[in-house]
Amino acid sequence: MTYRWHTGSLAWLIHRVTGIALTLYIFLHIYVLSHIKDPVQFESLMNLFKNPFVKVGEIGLVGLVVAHSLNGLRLTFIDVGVSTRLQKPMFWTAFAIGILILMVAAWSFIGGMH
Amino acid sequence: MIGVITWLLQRVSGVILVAGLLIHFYLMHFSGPEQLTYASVTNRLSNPFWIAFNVIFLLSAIYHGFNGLWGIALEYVSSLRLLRFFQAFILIAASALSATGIYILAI
Repeated sequence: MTYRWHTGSLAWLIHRVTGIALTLYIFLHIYVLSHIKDPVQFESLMNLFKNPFVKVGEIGLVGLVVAHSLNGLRLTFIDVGVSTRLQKPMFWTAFAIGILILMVAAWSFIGGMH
Repeated sequence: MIGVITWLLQRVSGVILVAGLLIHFYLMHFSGPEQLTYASVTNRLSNPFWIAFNVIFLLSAIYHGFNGLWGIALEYVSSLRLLRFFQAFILIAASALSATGIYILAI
């Protein structure tokens, strides 16, 4: 017997994996923020964000956040009564919006803004 | 009844997180580098609005993340002892992170 992948089960798996990763990220985030008590530490942290590996990590983080947020909104819409017949179109709409947001974010992190 | 409340809180905290992330993302990446200096960050953290915003954002993230992990544990872990251990870990981690986060914001 083989398991057939559908849009819904794929979205479910993505939601689960990104959710676990994001919860683990809370530990890292609070640990890092607990080390910026004075201007010197603050500047050294800010300089860290110029490191290309950290930039890639940041874009990856935005990817996790965007995937989890948009799919979470889709689930919330279904919970408040939007027809489940729309779950697939909503998935692909969320997918397209997510790619767009990720491209803007990558542009902003790499060159455009700071 | 508890299940209904935690389900609702998961949805509410999720919506708060989406709204908070939009503000966070705009502030950190689209409002100019002068918003990210030590002076402007500490200045924001002396404003009651931003302290409240950050505390609500922090607690929503911690609740949403750990309630999510608990839901996954309930699905996969059948041993009651392991489940109790996991529950203790979640409660301790969530409390410690909340306390540390509020401590950072309050200074």
